[in-house]
Amino acid sequence: MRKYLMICNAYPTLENLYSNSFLHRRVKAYQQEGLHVDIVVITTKVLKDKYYDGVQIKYMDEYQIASFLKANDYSTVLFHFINKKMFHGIEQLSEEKRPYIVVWLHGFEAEAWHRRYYNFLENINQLDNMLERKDTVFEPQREFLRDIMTREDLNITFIYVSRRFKELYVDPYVGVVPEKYYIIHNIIDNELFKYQKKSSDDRFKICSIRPFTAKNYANDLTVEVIKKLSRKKYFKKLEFNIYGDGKLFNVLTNPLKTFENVHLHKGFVKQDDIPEIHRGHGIYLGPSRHDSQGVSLGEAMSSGLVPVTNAIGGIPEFITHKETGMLAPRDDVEAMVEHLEYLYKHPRKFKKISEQASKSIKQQAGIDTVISKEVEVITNGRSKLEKGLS
Amino acid sequence: MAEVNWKKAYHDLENHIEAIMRETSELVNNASPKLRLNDVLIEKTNTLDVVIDATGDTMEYAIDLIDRKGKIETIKTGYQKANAFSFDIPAGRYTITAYAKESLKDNSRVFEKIQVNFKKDVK
Repeated sequence: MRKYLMICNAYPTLENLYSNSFLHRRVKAYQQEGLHVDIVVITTKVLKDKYYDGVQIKYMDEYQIASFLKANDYSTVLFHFINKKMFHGIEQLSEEKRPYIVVWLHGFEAEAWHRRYYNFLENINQLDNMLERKDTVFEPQREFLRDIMTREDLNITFIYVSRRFKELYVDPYVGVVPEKYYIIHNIIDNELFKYQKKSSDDRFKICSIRPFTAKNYANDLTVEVIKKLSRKKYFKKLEFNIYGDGKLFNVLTNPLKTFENVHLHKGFVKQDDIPEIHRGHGIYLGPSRHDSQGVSLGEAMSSGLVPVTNAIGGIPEFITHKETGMLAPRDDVEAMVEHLEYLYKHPRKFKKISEQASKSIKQQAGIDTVISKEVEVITNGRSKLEKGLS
Repeated sequence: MAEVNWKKAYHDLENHIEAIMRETSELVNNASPKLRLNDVLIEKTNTLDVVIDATGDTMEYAIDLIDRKGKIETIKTGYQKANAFSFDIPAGRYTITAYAKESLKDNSRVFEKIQVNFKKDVK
Protein backbone atom coordinates (compact mmCIF):
# COMPACT_ATOMS: atom_id res chain seq x y z
CA MET A 1 0.00 0.00 0.00
CA ARG A 2 1.32 3.43 -0.95
CA LYS A 3 2.02 5.77 1.95
CA TYR A 4 1.43 9.50 1.80
CA LEU A 5 2.87 12.18 4.06
CA MET A 6 1.77 15.81 4.20
CA ILE A 7 4.30 18.32 5.61
CA CYS A 8 2.89 21.75 6.38
CA ASN A 9 3.39 24.81 8.60
CA ALA A 10 0.11 24.47 10.54
CA TYR A 11 -2.87 22.12 10.80
CA PRO A 12 -6.17 22.56 12.63
CA THR A 13 -6.55 21.10 16.13
CA LEU A 14 -9.29 21.32 18.76
CA GLU A 15 -7.48 24.31 20.27
CA ASN A 16 -7.06 26.05 16.93
CA LEU A 17 -9.87 24.99 14.61
CA TYR A 18 -9.22 27.51 11.86
CA SER A 19 -5.49 27.09 11.33
CA ASN A 20 -5.16 26.02 7.67
CA SER A 21 -8.58 24.36 7.92
CA PHE A 22 -8.56 23.93 4.14
CA LEU A 23 -5.79 21.33 4.53
CA HIS A 24 -8.02 19.21 6.78
CA ARG A 25 -10.84 19.52 4.24
CA ARG A 26 -8.45 18.02 1.68
CA VAL A 27 -7.19 15.23 3.95
CA LYS A 28 -10.76 14.15 4.74
CA ALA A 29 -11.57 14.12 1.04
CA TYR A 30 -8.43 12.07 0.29
CA GLN A 31 -9.51 9.60 2.99
CA GLN A 32 -12.87 9.22 1.22
CA GLU A 33 -10.94 8.40 -1.92
CA GLY A 34 -9.12 5.65 -0.02
CA LEU A 35 -5.82 7.49 0.47
CA HIS A 36 -4.28 7.49 3.92
CA VAL A 37 -2.27 10.64 4.59
CA ASP A 38 -0.05 11.19 7.66
CA ILE A 39 0.43 14.77 8.82
CA VAL A 40 3.61 16.44 10.05
CA VAL A 41 3.63 20.07 11.15
CA ILE A 42 7.11 21.61 11.21
CA THR A 43 7.90 23.39 14.49
CA THR A 44 10.82 23.94 16.82
CA LYS A 45 8.50 23.46 19.84
CA VAL A 46 8.36 20.07 21.54
CA LEU A 47 4.73 19.01 21.19
CA LYS A 48 2.97 15.67 21.67
CA ASP A 49 0.98 14.21 18.79
CA LYS A 50 -2.54 15.57 18.53
CA TYR A 51 -5.68 14.01 17.09
CA TYR A 52 -8.31 16.00 15.26
CA ASP A 53 -11.39 14.58 13.61
CA GLY A 54 -9.77 11.19 13.04
CA VAL A 55 -6.44 12.58 11.84
CA GLN A 56 -3.15 12.19 13.76
CA ILE A 57 -0.87 15.23 13.67
CA LYS A 58 2.84 14.92 14.49
CA TYR A 59 5.02 17.93 15.35
CA MET A 60 8.70 17.85 14.33
CA ASP A 61 11.65 20.07 13.54
CA GLU A 62 13.59 19.62 10.30
CA TYR A 63 16.00 17.07 11.81
CA GLN A 64 13.20 14.94 13.25
CA ILE A 65 11.47 15.07 9.86
CA ALA A 66 14.71 13.79 8.27
CA SER A 67 14.88 10.83 10.70
CA PHE A 68 11.16 10.17 10.24
CA LEU A 69 11.50 10.07 6.45
CA LYS A 70 14.48 7.70 6.70
CA ALA A 71 12.59 5.36 9.03
CA ASN A 72 9.36 5.37 7.03
CA ASP A 73 9.05 4.49 3.41
CA TYR A 74 6.71 7.15 2.05
CA SER A 75 6.01 6.87 -1.65
CA THR A 76 4.70 10.44 -1.85
CA VAL A 77 5.31 13.57 0.20
CA LEU A 78 2.96 16.56 -0.09
CA PHE A 79 4.11 20.05 0.89
CA HIS A 80 1.99 23.11 1.69
CA PHE A 81 3.62 26.51 2.33
CA ILE A 82 7.00 24.96 1.61
CA ASN A 83 10.35 26.35 2.74
CA LYS A 84 13.92 25.10 2.88
CA LYS A 85 13.66 23.71 6.42
CA MET A 86 10.58 21.67 5.53
CA PHE A 87 12.50 20.20 2.61
CA HIS A 88 15.62 19.34 4.64
CA GLY A 89 14.46 15.75 5.25
CA ILE A 90 14.12 15.09 1.51
CA GLU A 91 17.67 16.36 0.93
CA GLN A 92 18.99 13.85 3.48
CA LEU A 93 17.61 10.88 1.55
CA SER A 94 19.73 9.27 -1.15
CA GLU A 95 18.46 9.94 -4.67
CA GLU A 96 16.97 6.46 -5.13
CA LYS A 97 15.13 6.68 -1.78
CA ARG A 98 13.53 10.03 -2.49
CA PRO A 99 9.74 9.95 -2.78
CA TYR A 100 7.51 11.52 -5.40
CA ILE A 101 6.96 15.11 -4.24
CA VAL A 102 3.97 17.39 -4.73
CA VAL A 103 4.31 21.06 -3.76
CA TRP A 104 1.30 23.38 -3.45
CA LEU A 105 2.03 27.07 -3.96
CA HIS A 106 -0.67 29.13 -2.27
CA GLY A 107 0.51 32.72 -1.89
CA PHE A 108 3.03 34.42 0.39
CA GLU A 109 5.62 31.62 0.15
CA ALA A 110 6.05 32.26 -3.58
CA GLU A 111 5.73 36.01 -4.11
CA ALA A 112 8.20 38.86 -4.47
CA TRP A 113 8.87 41.03 -1.44
CA HIS A 114 7.27 44.11 -3.01
CA ARG A 115 3.93 42.60 -4.03
CA ARG A 116 2.06 43.86 -0.95
CA TYR A 117 3.85 47.22 -0.80
CA TYR A 118 0.79 48.98 0.69
CA ASN A 119 1.16 46.85 3.83
CA PHE A 120 4.61 48.21 4.69
CA LEU A 121 4.53 51.83 3.54
CA GLU A 122 2.77 53.19 6.62
CA ASN A 123 6.02 54.24 8.24
CA ILE A 124 9.77 54.13 7.66
CA ASN A 125 10.34 51.36 10.21
CA GLN A 126 8.01 49.00 8.34
CA LEU A 127 9.76 49.79 5.09
CA ASP A 128 13.23 49.30 6.61
CA ASN A 129 12.08 46.01 8.13
CA MET A 130 10.81 44.79 4.76
CA LEU A 131 13.99 45.83 2.99
CA GLU A 132 15.89 43.69 5.48
CA ARG A 133 13.47 40.77 5.00
CA LYS A 134 13.94 41.13 1.25
CA ASP A 135 17.51 39.92 1.70
CA THR A 136 17.12 37.61 4.69
CA VAL A 137 13.79 35.92 3.89
CA PHE A 138 12.56 36.53 0.34
CA GLU A 139 15.85 36.04 -1.51
CA PRO A 140 16.74 32.70 0.17
CA GLN A 141 13.17 31.48 -0.45
CA ARG A 142 13.44 32.50 -4.12
CA GLU A 143 16.73 30.63 -4.47
CA PHE A 144 15.22 27.59 -2.77
CA LEU A 145 12.17 27.53 -5.06
CA ARG A 146 14.34 28.08 -8.12
CA ASP A 147 16.54 25.19 -7.04
CA ILE A 148 13.73 22.65 -6.54
CA MET A 149 12.02 23.80 -9.75
CA THR A 150 15.09 23.15 -11.88
CA ARG A 151 16.74 20.08 -10.33
CA GLU A 152 16.77 16.88 -12.30
CA ASP A 153 17.35 14.59 -9.32
CA LEU A 154 13.86 15.23 -7.91
CA ASN A 155 10.57 13.74 -9.05
CA ILE A 156 8.57 16.81 -8.21
CA THR A 157 5.27 18.35 -9.31
CA PHE A 158 3.97 21.83 -8.48
CA ILE A 159 0.36 22.88 -8.00
CA TYR A 160 -0.61 26.54 -8.41
CA VAL A 161 -3.98 27.71 -7.12
CA SER A 162 -4.65 29.78 -10.22
CA ARG A 163 -3.00 30.41 -13.58
CA ARG A 164 -2.85 34.15 -13.01
CA PHE A 165 -1.24 33.57 -9.61
CA LYS A 166 1.41 31.53 -11.38
CA GLU A 167 1.97 33.95 -14.25
CA LEU A 168 1.71 37.26 -12.43
CA TYR A 169 3.09 36.46 -8.98
CA VAL A 170 5.18 33.28 -8.87
CA ASP A 171 6.87 33.05 -12.29
CA PRO A 172 8.41 36.52 -12.25
CA TYR A 173 9.51 36.03 -8.62
CA VAL A 174 11.22 32.69 -9.13
CA GLY A 175 12.32 33.41 -12.70
CA VAL A 176 11.70 29.88 -13.96
CA VAL A 177 8.72 27.66 -14.73
CA PRO A 178 8.95 24.07 -13.46
CA GLU A 179 8.82 21.17 -15.87
CA LYS A 180 5.81 19.55 -14.21
CA TYR A 181 2.98 21.65 -12.88
CA TYR A 182 -0.81 21.81 -12.68
CA ILE A 183 -3.30 24.55 -12.03
CA ILE A 184 -5.66 23.25 -9.35
CA HIS A 185 -7.74 25.75 -7.42
CA ASN A 186 -8.39 25.80 -3.71
CA ILE A 187 -11.62 24.03 -2.81
CA ILE A 188 -14.78 26.11 -2.68
CA ASP A 189 -16.88 23.94 -0.39
CA ASN A 190 -20.15 23.74 -2.30
CA GLU A 191 -21.57 21.41 0.37
CA LEU A 192 -21.12 24.02 3.09
CA PHE A 193 -21.89 26.97 0.80
CA LYS A 194 -25.02 25.56 -0.79
CA TYR A 195 -26.70 27.57 -3.52
CA GLN A 196 -29.82 29.40 -2.46
CA LYS A 197 -31.94 30.98 -5.15
CA LYS A 198 -32.05 34.74 -4.74
CA SER A 199 -35.09 36.99 -5.11
CA SER A 200 -34.93 40.40 -6.81
CA ASP A 201 -35.11 42.12 -3.43
CA ASP A 202 -31.96 40.32 -2.27
CA ARG A 203 -29.95 42.74 -4.41
CA PHE A 204 -30.70 45.43 -1.81
CA LYS A 205 -28.88 43.40 0.84
CA ILE A 206 -25.13 43.75 0.61
CA CYS A 207 -22.62 42.06 2.88
CA SER A 208 -18.86 42.01 3.27
CA ILE A 209 -16.93 39.46 5.35
CA ARG A 210 -13.23 40.33 5.34
CA PRO A 211 -10.26 40.43 7.70
CA PHE A 212 -9.38 44.00 8.71
CA THR A 213 -5.75 43.17 9.38
CA ALA A 214 -4.03 44.65 6.31
CA LYS A 215 -4.61 46.94 3.35
CA ASN A 216 -4.63 44.14 0.78
CA TYR A 217 -8.16 43.31 1.94
CA ALA A 218 -9.11 46.76 0.63
CA ASN A 219 -11.84 47.44 3.19
CA ASP A 220 -11.11 51.13 2.69
CA LEU A 221 -12.65 50.74 -0.77
CA THR A 222 -15.81 49.24 0.76
CA VAL A 223 -16.12 52.31 2.99
CA GLU A 224 -15.58 54.71 0.06
CA VAL A 225 -18.12 52.84 -2.05
CA ILE A 226 -20.77 53.11 0.69
CA LYS A 227 -20.00 56.81 1.21
CA LYS A 228 -20.46 57.48 -2.51
CA LEU A 229 -23.64 55.41 -2.64
CA SER A 230 -25.04 57.45 0.26
CA ARG A 231 -25.47 60.34 -2.19
CA LYS A 232 -27.79 58.26 -4.37
CA LYS A 233 -31.56 58.60 -4.04
CA TYR A 234 -32.03 54.87 -3.57
CA PHE A 235 -29.37 54.54 -0.84
CA LYS A 236 -31.90 54.12 1.98
CA LYS A 237 -33.41 51.12 0.20
CA LEU A 238 -30.07 49.32 0.57
CA GLU A 239 -28.87 47.47 3.66
CA PHE A 240 -25.19 46.81 4.39
CA ASN A 241 -23.71 44.36 6.87
CA ILE A 242 -19.95 44.58 7.37
CA TYR A 243 -18.32 41.65 9.19
CA GLY A 244 -14.68 41.33 10.19
CA ASP A 245 -12.01 41.93 12.74
CA GLY A 246 -8.54 43.40 12.93
CA LYS A 247 -6.62 46.51 13.85
CA LEU A 248 -8.13 48.49 10.95
CA PHE A 249 -11.81 47.75 11.71
CA ASN A 250 -12.59 50.76 13.91
CA VAL A 251 -10.33 53.16 12.01
CA LEU A 252 -11.88 52.35 8.65
CA THR A 253 -15.53 51.83 9.55
CA ASN A 254 -15.90 54.88 11.81
CA PRO A 255 -17.31 57.10 9.00
CA LEU A 256 -20.05 54.53 8.39
CA LYS A 257 -21.54 54.85 11.87
CA THR A 258 -23.67 57.78 10.75
CA PHE A 259 -25.67 55.61 8.34
CA GLU A 260 -28.68 53.81 9.81
CA ASN A 261 -28.69 51.17 7.09
CA VAL A 262 -25.05 50.18 7.61
CA HIS A 263 -24.54 47.59 10.35
CA LEU A 264 -21.06 46.92 11.66
CA HIS A 265 -20.32 43.49 13.14
CA LYS A 266 -16.85 43.52 14.65
CA GLY A 267 -15.48 40.05 15.41
CA PHE A 268 -14.07 36.91 13.87
CA VAL A 269 -16.68 35.07 11.81
CA LYS A 270 -16.45 31.28 12.05
CA GLN A 271 -16.64 29.49 8.74
CA ASP A 272 -19.72 27.55 9.87
CA ASP A 273 -21.56 30.85 10.48
CA ILE A 274 -20.88 32.26 7.02
CA PRO A 275 -23.56 30.30 5.09
CA GLU A 276 -26.24 31.86 7.34
CA ILE A 277 -24.92 35.34 6.54
CA HIS A 278 -24.85 34.46 2.86
CA ARG A 279 -28.49 33.35 3.05
CA GLY A 280 -29.58 36.82 4.13
CA HIS A 281 -27.83 38.75 1.37
CA GLY A 282 -27.76 39.05 -2.41
CA ILE A 283 -24.50 40.88 -3.09
CA TYR A 284 -21.02 40.25 -1.71
CA LEU A 285 -18.95 43.42 -1.70
CA GLY A 286 -15.38 42.10 -1.54
CA PRO A 287 -12.81 44.50 -2.95
CA SER A 288 -9.24 43.31 -3.05
CA ARG A 289 -5.72 44.46 -3.87
CA HIS A 290 -4.07 41.07 -3.79
CA ASP A 291 -5.47 37.57 -4.21
CA SER A 292 -4.08 34.37 -5.64
CA GLN A 293 -7.65 33.03 -5.97
CA GLY A 294 -10.18 34.88 -3.82
CA VAL A 295 -11.65 32.05 -1.77
CA SER A 296 -14.13 34.20 0.17
CA LEU A 297 -15.50 35.54 -3.13
CA GLY A 298 -15.83 31.98 -4.40
CA GLU A 299 -17.68 30.90 -1.26
CA ALA A 300 -20.12 33.80 -1.64
CA MET A 301 -20.63 32.88 -5.32
CA SER A 302 -21.28 29.28 -4.36
CA SER A 303 -24.06 30.46 -2.00
CA GLY A 304 -25.58 32.49 -4.85
CA LEU A 305 -24.34 35.97 -4.00
CA VAL A 306 -23.19 38.26 -6.78
CA PRO A 307 -19.59 39.31 -6.08
CA VAL A 308 -18.54 42.93 -6.65
CA THR A 309 -14.77 43.11 -6.59
CA ASN A 310 -11.61 44.13 -8.47
CA ALA A 311 -9.90 42.61 -11.49
CA ILE A 312 -6.61 41.93 -9.74
CA GLY A 313 -4.41 38.86 -9.17
CA GLY A 314 -6.23 35.56 -9.66
CA ILE A 315 -9.76 36.99 -9.35
CA PRO A 316 -10.57 37.42 -13.09
CA GLU A 317 -9.89 33.72 -13.55
CA PHE A 318 -13.00 32.99 -11.48
CA ILE A 319 -15.29 35.93 -12.24
CA THR A 320 -16.38 37.05 -15.68
CA HIS A 321 -17.71 40.60 -15.65
CA LYS A 322 -21.52 40.81 -15.86
CA GLU A 323 -21.76 37.03 -16.24
CA THR A 324 -20.65 35.63 -12.89
CA GLY A 325 -20.00 38.85 -10.98
CA MET A 326 -18.94 42.45 -11.33
CA LEU A 327 -15.30 43.44 -11.79
CA ALA A 328 -13.86 46.92 -11.36
CA PRO A 329 -10.28 47.95 -12.13
CA ARG A 330 -7.76 48.15 -9.26
CA ASP A 331 -8.78 50.68 -6.57
CA ASP A 332 -11.60 52.03 -8.79
CA VAL A 333 -14.32 53.12 -6.36
CA GLU A 334 -16.38 54.88 -9.07
CA ALA A 335 -16.59 51.69 -11.12
CA MET A 336 -17.65 49.66 -8.08
CA VAL A 337 -20.43 52.15 -7.36
CA GLU A 338 -21.55 51.92 -11.00
CA HIS A 339 -21.58 48.12 -10.78
CA LEU A 340 -23.76 48.17 -7.66
CA GLU A 341 -26.07 50.65 -9.38
CA TYR A 342 -26.25 48.37 -12.39
CA LEU A 343 -27.38 45.48 -10.17
CA TYR A 344 -29.87 47.80 -8.46
CA LYS A 345 -31.37 48.83 -11.81
CA HIS A 346 -31.32 45.35 -13.40
CA PRO A 347 -33.05 42.87 -11.06
CA ARG A 348 -33.38 40.17 -13.70
CA LYS A 349 -29.73 40.40 -14.62
CA PHE A 350 -28.88 40.24 -10.90
CA LYS A 351 -30.78 36.95 -10.55
CA LYS A 352 -29.14 35.54 -13.65
CA ILE A 353 -25.62 36.46 -12.52
CA SER A 354 -26.36 34.95 -9.09
CA GLU A 355 -27.34 31.63 -10.62
CA GLN A 356 -24.45 31.61 -13.07
CA ALA A 357 -21.92 32.53 -10.38
CA SER A 358 -22.84 29.54 -8.25
CA LYS A 359 -22.82 27.11 -11.18
CA SER A 360 -19.55 28.41 -12.51
CA ILE A 361 -17.60 28.30 -9.26
CA LYS A 362 -18.87 24.81 -8.45
CA GLN A 363 -17.71 23.60 -11.83
CA GLN A 364 -14.37 25.34 -11.50
CA ALA A 365 -13.45 24.78 -7.84
CA GLY A 366 -16.14 22.61 -6.26
CA ILE A 367 -15.09 19.72 -4.01
CA ASP A 368 -15.47 16.97 -6.61
CA THR A 369 -13.61 18.92 -9.30
CA VAL A 370 -10.66 19.81 -7.10
CA ILE A 371 -10.30 16.53 -5.26
CA SER A 372 -10.46 14.38 -8.37
CA LYS A 373 -7.71 16.50 -9.93
CA GLU A 374 -5.57 16.45 -6.80
CA VAL A 375 -5.96 12.69 -6.36
CA GLU A 376 -4.87 12.21 -9.95
CA VAL A 377 -1.76 14.26 -9.29
CA ILE A 378 -0.78 12.84 -5.92
CA THR A 379 -1.30 9.26 -7.05
CA ASN A 380 0.81 10.15 -10.06
CA GLY A 381 -1.90 8.78 -12.35
CA ARG A 382 -2.25 11.54 -14.85
CA SER A 383 -4.57 9.91 -17.34
CA LYS A 384 -7.38 12.44 -16.77
CA LEU A 385 -5.23 15.49 -16.69
CA GLU A 386 -3.73 17.54 -19.39
CA LYS A 387 -0.63 19.22 -18.18
CA GLY A 388 -1.15 22.85 -17.27
CA LEU A 389 -4.90 22.90 -17.84
CA SER A 390 -7.27 23.76 -15.05
CA MET B 1 11.00 24.00 -19.72
CA ALA B 2 8.36 26.69 -20.33
CA GLU B 3 9.40 30.33 -20.28
CA VAL B 4 8.28 33.01 -17.85
CA ASN B 5 5.87 35.42 -19.57
CA TRP B 6 7.85 38.51 -18.61
CA LYS B 7 5.72 40.83 -20.74
CA LYS B 8 2.51 39.85 -18.97
CA ALA B 9 4.17 40.10 -15.56
CA TYR B 10 5.60 43.51 -16.44
CA HIS B 11 2.24 44.91 -17.47
CA ASP B 12 0.70 43.69 -14.22
CA LEU B 13 3.48 45.33 -12.22
CA GLU B 14 3.20 48.52 -14.26
CA ASN B 15 -0.41 48.75 -13.08
CA HIS B 16 0.91 49.16 -9.53
CA ILE B 17 3.51 51.83 -10.17
CA GLU B 18 1.26 54.86 -9.75
CA ALA B 19 -0.17 53.43 -6.52
CA ILE B 20 3.32 52.63 -5.23
CA MET B 21 4.43 56.19 -5.93
CA ARG B 22 1.33 57.65 -4.25
CA GLU B 23 1.92 55.52 -1.14
CA THR B 24 5.58 56.52 -1.16
CA SER B 25 4.69 60.21 -1.53
CA GLU B 26 2.43 59.96 1.51
CA LEU B 27 5.17 58.18 3.43
CA VAL B 28 7.77 60.80 2.54
CA ASN B 29 5.43 63.70 3.36
CA ASN B 30 4.55 62.24 6.74
CA ALA B 31 8.03 61.04 7.57
CA SER B 32 10.01 62.75 10.31
CA PRO B 33 13.33 64.20 9.10
CA LYS B 34 16.45 62.10 9.49
CA LEU B 35 18.44 62.93 12.60
CA ARG B 36 21.48 65.09 11.86
CA LEU B 37 23.58 67.68 13.65
CA ASN B 38 23.85 70.79 11.49
CA ASP B 39 26.03 73.09 13.57
CA VAL B 40 27.28 73.93 17.04
CA LEU B 41 27.19 77.70 17.56
CA ILE B 42 29.47 79.27 20.17
CA GLU B 43 29.09 82.76 21.62
CA LYS B 44 31.66 84.03 24.04
CA THR B 45 30.49 86.81 26.39
CA ASN B 46 30.79 86.79 30.15
CA THR B 47 29.58 83.21 29.81
CA LEU B 48 30.26 80.54 27.27
CA ASP B 49 27.00 80.07 25.36
CA VAL B 50 26.43 77.05 23.15
CA VAL B 51 23.51 76.44 20.79
CA ILE B 52 23.09 73.05 19.12
CA ASP B 53 21.43 73.20 15.71
CA ALA B 54 20.10 69.74 14.81
CA THR B 55 17.32 68.27 12.67
CA GLY B 56 15.15 65.36 13.79
CA ASP B 57 11.94 64.32 15.50
CA THR B 58 11.25 65.31 19.16
CA MET B 59 14.81 66.30 19.97
CA GLU B 60 16.83 66.36 23.19
CA TYR B 61 20.26 67.94 23.63
CA ALA B 62 23.25 67.57 25.96
CA ILE B 63 26.80 68.84 26.34
CA ASP B 64 29.99 67.48 27.90
CA LEU B 65 32.41 70.30 28.67
CA ILE B 66 36.01 69.28 29.40
CA ASP B 67 38.60 71.71 30.72
CA ARG B 68 41.72 70.73 28.80
CA LYS B 69 43.98 72.00 31.58
CA GLY B 70 41.95 70.09 34.19
CA LYS B 71 41.32 73.11 36.42
CA ILE B 72 37.60 72.43 36.66
CA GLU B 73 35.81 69.08 36.62
CA THR B 74 34.16 67.91 33.43
CA ILE B 75 30.58 69.24 33.19
CA LYS B 76 27.96 66.79 31.88
CA THR B 77 24.62 68.55 31.46
CA GLY B 78 22.47 65.50 30.78
CA TYR B 79 19.77 65.60 28.10
CA GLN B 80 17.29 68.51 28.03
CA LYS B 81 14.61 69.77 25.65
CA ALA B 82 16.21 73.21 25.11
CA ASN B 83 19.05 73.41 22.61
CA ALA B 84 20.82 76.41 24.26
CA PHE B 85 23.34 76.11 27.09
CA SER B 86 25.15 78.76 29.09
CA PHE B 87 28.28 78.02 31.17
CA ASP B 88 29.65 80.44 33.73
CA ILE B 89 33.18 79.13 33.75
CA PRO B 90 36.71 80.47 34.05
CA ALA B 91 38.58 81.46 30.91
CA GLY B 92 40.53 78.60 29.41
CA ARG B 93 40.75 75.96 26.70
CA TYR B 94 37.80 73.59 26.59
CA THR B 95 36.63 70.66 24.56
CA ILE B 96 32.89 70.68 23.94
CA THR B 97 31.03 67.55 22.88
CA ALA B 98 27.53 68.51 21.71
CA TYR B 99 24.92 65.73 21.51
CA ALA B 100 21.46 65.55 19.94
CA LYS B 101 19.08 62.62 20.08
CA GLU B 102 15.45 61.77 19.31
CA SER B 103 13.48 61.18 22.53
CA LEU B 104 11.32 58.39 21.15
CA LYS B 105 14.09 56.34 19.59
CA ASP B 106 16.65 54.26 21.39
CA ASN B 107 20.21 54.34 20.11
CA SER B 108 19.62 57.48 18.06
CA ARG B 109 22.38 60.00 18.79
CA VAL B 110 24.61 62.35 16.84
CA PHE B 111 27.45 64.40 18.29
CA GLU B 112 30.19 66.81 17.36
CA LYS B 113 33.40 67.63 19.23
CA ILE B 114 34.89 71.12 19.05
CA GLN B 115 37.77 72.95 20.76
CA VAL B 116 37.16 76.39 22.28
CA ASN B 117 39.57 79.00 23.60
CA PHE B 118 37.29 80.92 25.97
CA LYS B 119 38.19 84.44 27.09
CA LYS B 120 35.65 86.38 29.11
CA ASP B 121 34.34 89.39 27.22
CA VAL B 122 33.52 91.78 30.07
CA LYS B 123 31.76 94.93 28.77
